[in-house]
Amino acid sequence: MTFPVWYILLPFLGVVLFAGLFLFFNVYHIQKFSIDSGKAYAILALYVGGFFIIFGMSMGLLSRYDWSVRVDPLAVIHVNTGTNTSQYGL
Amino acid sequence: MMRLTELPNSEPEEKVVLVLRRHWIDVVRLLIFTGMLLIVPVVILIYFNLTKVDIFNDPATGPISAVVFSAYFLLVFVLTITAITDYWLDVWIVTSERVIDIEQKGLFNRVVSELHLRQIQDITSEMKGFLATFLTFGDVFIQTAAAKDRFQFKNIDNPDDVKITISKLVEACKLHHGHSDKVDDSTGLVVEK
Repeated sequence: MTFPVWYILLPFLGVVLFAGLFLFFNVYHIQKFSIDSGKAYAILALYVGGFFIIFGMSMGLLSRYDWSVRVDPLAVIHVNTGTNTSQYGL
Repeated sequence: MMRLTELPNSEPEEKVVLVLRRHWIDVVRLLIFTGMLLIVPVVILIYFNLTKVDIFNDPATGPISAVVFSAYFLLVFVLTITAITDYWLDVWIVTSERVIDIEQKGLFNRVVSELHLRQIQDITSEMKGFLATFLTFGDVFIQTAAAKDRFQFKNIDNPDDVKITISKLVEACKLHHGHSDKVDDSTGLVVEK
């Protein structure tokens, strides 16, 4: 049984949404409850900047792959019918 | 954001004397924990490198590895910023009139309590352990006449100095407001002047 490898992007999308939601909660709490100071703004910048840096690096890493490949989770690698593994750099 | 000049229920001429947070050693502990979490994928990569398996260049395991590593780093990031928020929002404010204890427990539990300096009967500072003694951090407990729990300033810097400062403020406050206040033992509230 094979499945397209892009299926694993679905749980990743869930993780990204979860992380984004928690980023929002953290930013909201700091913005609403923190004592007004420069450090609080620095923390907000660190949160938002850090999130987008990690998210951007993830996107950079994920964009390297051909997500149309089909894989067999139980056995060896299978690629799309009529294709050769050499096209994936093997 | 909350401005120290506009504290809720502030009295005229009330001045903020101390704004306390937990000692920086708590941030260091958090960063060490985060560092350990970040080392895990590095160790895995070193292991695969030693066994000559390139998990990122295989057409099947490559995307899976990339997704797992990306998700892991995002989750570690979220965990770390939530802990930083918890640290940052735990604040104790000592003014010339009262003590305000703001405690953030996770993201969705926030407790704010305040205590008038006139209600304070006993202040205790405590430094426990080698690191606490070496870096001078510890707890300050504030006891009122009421049978309520004690106020606790957790892991603050220089607890002895804080205790002395609050003691002086309590004395000054009692002189200013008079010693004749009667405090209800059950509620800790001033019932008569």
